[in-house]
Amino acid sequence: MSIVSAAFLAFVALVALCYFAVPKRVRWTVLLVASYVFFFINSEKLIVVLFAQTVFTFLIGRWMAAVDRKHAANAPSADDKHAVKAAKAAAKKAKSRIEVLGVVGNLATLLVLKYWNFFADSGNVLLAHFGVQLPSIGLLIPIGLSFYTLQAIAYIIDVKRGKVQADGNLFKFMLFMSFFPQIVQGPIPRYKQLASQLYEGHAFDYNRMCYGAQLMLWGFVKKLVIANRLAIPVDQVFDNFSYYSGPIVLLAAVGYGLQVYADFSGGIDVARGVAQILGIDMAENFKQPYFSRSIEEFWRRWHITLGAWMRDYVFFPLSLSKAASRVGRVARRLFGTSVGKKAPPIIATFIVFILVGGWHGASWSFVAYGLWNGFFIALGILLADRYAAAKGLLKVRDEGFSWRLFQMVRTILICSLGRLFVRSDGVHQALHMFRSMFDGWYDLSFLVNGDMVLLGLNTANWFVLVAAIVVLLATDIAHERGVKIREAIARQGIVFRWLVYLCAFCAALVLGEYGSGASIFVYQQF
Amino acid sequence: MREHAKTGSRLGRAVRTVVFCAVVLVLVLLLSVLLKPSPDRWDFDNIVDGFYDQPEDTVQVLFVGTSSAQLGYSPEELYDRGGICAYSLCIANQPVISSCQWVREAHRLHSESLEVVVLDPAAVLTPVIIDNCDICVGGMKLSQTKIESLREINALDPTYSVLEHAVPIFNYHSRWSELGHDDFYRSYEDAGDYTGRGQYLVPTTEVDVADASYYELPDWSVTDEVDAPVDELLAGIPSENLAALDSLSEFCKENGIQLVFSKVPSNYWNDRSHDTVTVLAERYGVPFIDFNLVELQERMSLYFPLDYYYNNHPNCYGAQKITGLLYDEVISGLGVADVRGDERWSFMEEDFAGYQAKMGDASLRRCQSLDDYLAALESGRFVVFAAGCGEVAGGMDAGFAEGFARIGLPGLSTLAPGCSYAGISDGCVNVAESIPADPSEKAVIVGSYRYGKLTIAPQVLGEDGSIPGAFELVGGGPLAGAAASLVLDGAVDAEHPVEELCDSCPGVNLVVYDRATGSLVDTAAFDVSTGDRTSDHVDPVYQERLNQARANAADAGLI
Repeated sequence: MSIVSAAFLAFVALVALCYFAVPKRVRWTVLLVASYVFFFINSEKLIVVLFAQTVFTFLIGRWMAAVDRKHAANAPSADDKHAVKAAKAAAKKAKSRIEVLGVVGNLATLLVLKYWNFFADSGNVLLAHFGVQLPSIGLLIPIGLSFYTLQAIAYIIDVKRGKVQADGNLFKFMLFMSFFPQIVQGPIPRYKQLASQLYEGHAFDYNRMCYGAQLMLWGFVKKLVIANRLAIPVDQVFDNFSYYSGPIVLLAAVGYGLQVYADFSGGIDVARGVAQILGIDMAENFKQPYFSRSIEEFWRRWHITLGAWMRDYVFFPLSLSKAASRVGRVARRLFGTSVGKKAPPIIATFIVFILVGGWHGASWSFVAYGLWNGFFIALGILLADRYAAAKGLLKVRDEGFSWRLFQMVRTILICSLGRLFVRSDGVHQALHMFRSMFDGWYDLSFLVNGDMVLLGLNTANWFVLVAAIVVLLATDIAHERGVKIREAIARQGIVFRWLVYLCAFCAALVLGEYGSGASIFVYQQF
Repeated sequence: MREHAKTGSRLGRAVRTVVFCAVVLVLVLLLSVLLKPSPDRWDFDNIVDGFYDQPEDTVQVLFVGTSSAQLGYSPEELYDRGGICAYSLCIANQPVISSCQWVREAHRLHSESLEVVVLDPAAVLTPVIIDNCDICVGGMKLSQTKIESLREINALDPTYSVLEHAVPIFNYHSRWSELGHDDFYRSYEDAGDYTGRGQYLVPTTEVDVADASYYELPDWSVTDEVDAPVDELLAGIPSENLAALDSLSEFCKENGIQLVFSKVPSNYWNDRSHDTVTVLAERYGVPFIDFNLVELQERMSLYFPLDYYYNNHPNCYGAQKITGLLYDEVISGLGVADVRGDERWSFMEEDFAGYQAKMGDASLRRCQSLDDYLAALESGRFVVFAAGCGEVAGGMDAGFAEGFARIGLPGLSTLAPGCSYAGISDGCVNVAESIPADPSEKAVIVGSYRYGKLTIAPQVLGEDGSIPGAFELVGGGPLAGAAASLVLDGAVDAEHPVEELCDSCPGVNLVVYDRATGSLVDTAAFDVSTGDRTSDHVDPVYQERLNQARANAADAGLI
């Protein structure tokens, strides 16, 4: 059941009805049942994988809590500082072992189910010399595995760090791990931010319901009208890449970036809208990423919850580790103070982005995508001083419109070119398209001579697409300027309000590209 | 006070929510109507609409099956012969599972009257195609039966969404970019149009008489014994079809409906197909009549070049013969009540009159003489465009002159020799005539004719400056030039662009349209100047085919 289907709307209506019909203290059970039903509809017997990972993570949390309790019960007198320190260190060490077990257990599930064939295929190239072959296995992947695994790991680390208390109720924890609006493609929630909201019974709130429904509607428009329509010409170019060159390839790359943005953020809006109807605020996952002025900023605005996860659980631990300090010292000795200071974050950045790339999919293309992003961020860190000096020399005003526009366009281009690796069928295709992008710029007549129709959209559909992108851009500009669009619309008279809602409804219903295969999200496949 | 205000606010919100939902619903319905594809007989819409227009508990016999059955059975023939109210819900490529679903839907609406279901088993051996199931269930009104039907399709293909197909707009929402002029004038097609009680009534034949394999009688006949083992024959039937047949048989038994297997003649049918359906008929204990058998084809004098549209599709004459024999052999023995004269079925008289009118229209194409042609036009169901070509008046005798006057072209009756002529009559009433005083001038009438509406000049300009349905009728005389012309831009729909309809043969050129539907019925030319009462029908190729087919049929002793 796709979250942009009529069936899902009916499902949400039924869940909301049941949720607000039962007493507040048991409302979370409605969400639990709904989440497991939703998961079962989408992944059937693979629900056991989710259940097993949930129970495992829950027990890891309880185990660490037990260590804490034992430590508290056997705590030495506060006067004996050495004994207190030793006891704390022992408890920390015990919890670290449990943490490692929990993280490895969850990662192992992800690696085996999602990456085994990738590792086997890659490993076999080397192992072939020794006459050894790793078998490929036809394992099915449960929906949302990449998302809820990170969620589980974050929970384990947070419990270990003492940021959250281990959950004491397995059923409530099952709800945290499986909450149906987010299970398909996130956002990746933190226990501290989401759990208490899920467990608390929320009262029906008319305004929240309206806002939630509006957010869902906007998500539908983004996914059905923009993303699915953009997918048609983009697929045409990528699936027949050898026929295209120059501006069309560049347009396809930029178009794919926009498609993914409308697709992913549309899905997130639907998920957040559903949660909002139920009285739950989910974390924001986007903050107008295409207005970013650097790749680093882009990753702070794009898929925010993944970026934050990587920052908290990979980047900081890595860049602040003893090993990183040692690398920094060596770099300082070899290349000077400036480079030595920047070496740990640069290395941590590369590792983070290799992981980000790999998280998106099990192929070398995704690794290349991670390296592409890591390279530009590392370059930014490494050349920051010279960059600032050059700007000073050229008297560039940081907040000047033309400079900001240049930075934004540059960021969009770098991101779009990087996405060639994601959308292409292998690194080879991506490099071919990259090369062909520089040919054929002498003839731009295709823009006006009707050849655009050959990309799969007729004139009317191109018009709808461009108009919808303009609307998307306008809403992002308004958000960027701090305008709360839903609240602004809510302040208008009923005729205008309804006109806006009905137009959006008709747009999704009539202009939406839906049907077989159109309800799958790009990020759902990651 | 505060509590009261709060309650009032809640009420206001509730009212707003209900009104908003109602507006959304109305919008969905309006969009559904607007985006619904134009009716097309092959697309099933007219058939289904006509079916739902039937008064409850009136349909006694239901035909289900594929396109050959859609053309091959004439429900009106059953009324003519036995006073039986029948309806055909056949459609191109209708899978067995869809036939079964429509039987359930028909029973829901006609549970008191439905007595016989005639299934054409052409699809029994064909694997189910989900798209065809979707087309068939598409027109079904939302009901428990429809939901069950959608679930059955979903069971065959889990990607088929029940909910999305229950709401029609989801199916054809993408038509927004194709909407054109015709979509807003659709109502004309429905208004008073005869639905044929589900029969796709085709008067013409496109059988290539030069290709003997097209219409030769099959070289196999009744076999008393089934040749292949029963299990082997049953194994050749796709499992989903067998399950659907099991379900249909059970449903009919439970509801006291007699199931009949009846196969329209087809050159895609063979001994094994016949044997398979024979085995199925025995399995379910139902009668099976296979009109492919030589004996039956000879009994009803069925001859492909005359009685078939093309391939496996009979024309209205073939359907007449097949349905007649079906009645004689099977239906008449099933005890279905004769409803003629019963007030409840009074609408059948009107329907039957419509059928006779259609058959009358069809006969225009087979008229050999101008006398017969003029007599057929006197029914008043036509718009007739007439244009002279060469000498018209010179040899016209009194009989022809009276005939033209009766169909609303009096100018032709009194036309002076050597003059040009153009005239139009609508339902035997003269609308316009042009007889230039100067014989060297051509007779010209301009106007517009679209969706059955006839307007003589001034022409009606479309928004883009074009003239939708514009025509120019030109008649020439011996001095003005021997040329007749009728150019009409899209009289029926956008798929029929500007075309020349006159072949400009010597004499009177006639172009005949159906008044009710605006569809072209026939074009013909009669060289009245020769005084010969036999005609030169304008479609010489068709005439040639017809003559050759008749000769062949006579040689074979079929006519």
